[in-house]
Amino acid sequence: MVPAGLDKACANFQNEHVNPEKLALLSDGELHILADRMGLNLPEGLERLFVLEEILDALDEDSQERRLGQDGPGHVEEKKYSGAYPSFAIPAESSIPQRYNETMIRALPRDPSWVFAYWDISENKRAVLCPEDGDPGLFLRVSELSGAKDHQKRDYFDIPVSRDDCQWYINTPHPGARYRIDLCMHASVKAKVLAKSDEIRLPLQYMDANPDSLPQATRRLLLLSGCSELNIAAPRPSNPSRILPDGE
Amino acid sequence: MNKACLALVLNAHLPFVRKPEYQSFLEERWFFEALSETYIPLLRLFRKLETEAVPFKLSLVLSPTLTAMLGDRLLGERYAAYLANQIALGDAEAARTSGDAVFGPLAVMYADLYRQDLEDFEKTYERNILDGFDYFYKRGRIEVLTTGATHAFLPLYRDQPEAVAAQIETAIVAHRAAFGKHPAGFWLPQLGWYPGLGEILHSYNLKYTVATTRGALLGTPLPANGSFSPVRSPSGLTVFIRDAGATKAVWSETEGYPADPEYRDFYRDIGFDLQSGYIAPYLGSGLSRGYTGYKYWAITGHTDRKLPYKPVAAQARAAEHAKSFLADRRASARAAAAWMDNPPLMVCPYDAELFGHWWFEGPLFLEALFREAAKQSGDDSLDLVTLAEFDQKYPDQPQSEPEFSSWGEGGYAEVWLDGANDWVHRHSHKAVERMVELAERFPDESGLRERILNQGAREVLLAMCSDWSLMMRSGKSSSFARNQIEEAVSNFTKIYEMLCSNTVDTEWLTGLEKRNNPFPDINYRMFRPKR
Repeated sequence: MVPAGLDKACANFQNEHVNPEKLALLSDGELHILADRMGLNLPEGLERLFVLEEILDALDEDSQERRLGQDGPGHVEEKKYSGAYPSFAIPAESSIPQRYNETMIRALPRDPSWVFAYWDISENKRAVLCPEDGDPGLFLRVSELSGAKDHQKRDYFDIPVSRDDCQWYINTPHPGARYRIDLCMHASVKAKVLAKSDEIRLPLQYMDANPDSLPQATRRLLLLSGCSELNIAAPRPSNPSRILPDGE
Repeated sequence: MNKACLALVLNAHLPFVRKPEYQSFLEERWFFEALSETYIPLLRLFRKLETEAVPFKLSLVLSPTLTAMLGDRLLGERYAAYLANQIALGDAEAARTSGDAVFGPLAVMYADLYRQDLEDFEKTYERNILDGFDYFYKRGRIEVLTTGATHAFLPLYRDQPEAVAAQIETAIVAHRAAFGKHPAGFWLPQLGWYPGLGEILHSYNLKYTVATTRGALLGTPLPANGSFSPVRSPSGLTVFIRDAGATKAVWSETEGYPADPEYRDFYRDIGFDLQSGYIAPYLGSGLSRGYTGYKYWAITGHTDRKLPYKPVAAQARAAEHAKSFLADRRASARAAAAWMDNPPLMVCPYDAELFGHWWFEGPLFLEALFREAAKQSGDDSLDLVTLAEFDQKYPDQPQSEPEFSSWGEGGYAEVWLDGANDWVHRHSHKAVERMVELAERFPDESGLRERILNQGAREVLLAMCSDWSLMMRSGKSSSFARNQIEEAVSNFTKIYEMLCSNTVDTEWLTGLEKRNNPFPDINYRMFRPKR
């Protein structure tokens, strides 16, 4: 029995106490959904016994990986939910709309090198522009904008997407730069823009200043603050002609 | 206060979990465990130090969702029942282990702790734990900071300033209702900062916050004192900076103090060691296995041969660690002071629930730290301060705008924008957008329509909670976390559709108001765009 509160619609499995009995209660279909969710690529028609084995192995492997990588504050913060059980759940049918029938795109900066974008195309537009049987030629145009006030594009690149895609993680080349993501489709020779995101700015990865140019006091205080461990001082450009070790 | 300063900051927060529709609910135990193992022990510690005239200073964040749960009558009743159950388990354990010189005393120790909790909860605080914190707040021993209403990760709402404002405004109203005064400090949920956030915080008359070392050191211009003094953001908000060394000493699960072999092992619990038939009646919620809080083993180290937990040895180790922590901070302060005009400050923020709940000896560590700090004298001793005290004493700080950052893994938004949880944002952003639209369309409602708009605002805030995304990413309670988001979005969507079609299902609304009842003074108009 799945207790109320643990999950109304899903079976949960304890990772640290792998529980074959609970797994055995699932139907073949549910086991395959579970395997899919865990990223296991199992051949069709694989015998139930082997499916169970694959899942148990993966749970065990995942548990070990988590134990090895548990030093970040995020991991530590999870400890407050000690009643929380590692779960690989069979997704219940969602009770919320999957889409909102609008044509839009939103971009969210994730870190210095990645943007997450999600988008949608309204039913009407989709019917006209994206026929079921044809390639609508959809793509994302990732434009790097030059400065805070200058909205002119400095450079751009395109990422082809399919009519079924609705989100993408975009690798961007320049930390600290401003970007805009447009949802576009090919129309004759020009690109037709369906939706534009707001302009976003990615965070910096490295400190702007060259540490060598800073006053000694600042350099010392940055070091004492943990600047080296955080790996935020820009790597020095390598100089192959340099033969003397640092400090000489 | 011209000596180097140390500011301890504890963030006490749990997401809102209250399920009156069930007789008992597993995830409500997070709150009960935190009460038993962290919040009540912290109050006990404060009382003890006050009685013995040991000075202590602490900045404590009490999140609005936690404040709501601490003041909730139903959860109070359920907590009392939880304690009775824990004591019953303790008595059973005492009987089972009687005659066992190693485990018998441990069973009695836990049962006694739960009895003490019950005594404090029922008699000392008459079920009102907030009053306990308010007592020390009013005496200036602690300061209480607020934080985002539902701990939303604010950088992901940067392009929806109404949502950020609603998180802040709701928090301030809840703080005023609980403590009768305007908060001066605002804890950034997950330490999530983005350039420009200071303007919104400052517009609500908030004076200071805390950011990560990474965010501060990547700030513009570069802060000349590193993390050893706060910076003033362009809006005038003071931004304190987390001390990286102090962070590692406590946070690191492998190298930090809590990993010491002498300490109690959090994972090894009789709920997994003993027969399920014996344990199940004490777990409730239909569970046959689970954490009970009765844990008899020490961490021991990398070996299969676990050693039993020895409380006296663990207490001594906590005292050693407190000394070592202070000695390291003193050394760090000495090194920094040589390059600074003003005394250096080290800000040490942690999640409160780790002290006692996960790190069982955490409250003992804090006690030893306060006692040790009180004993120190001389030029290199440290002054324990609250953030407010430091801000008042040293108002002139270098100007700088920290960079977008968080304390999550990776240092930015990786934890909350991940394949396991990225689907959330489409819905929470849409809910915010629709709530802004409703607040514009219905600026001055009263009666039933005001009630439904207020409930809509509550559901939007609940959908923004960052804890659910964290859980989905970790794989722990991920289906419960998913349900929480879906439920809030689904409730809001129904409210939106009712308002658009000019109908109200009063019975449904009343039921929902009773279930999801945080922030009784909420005002949906806070979602109106600021002009």
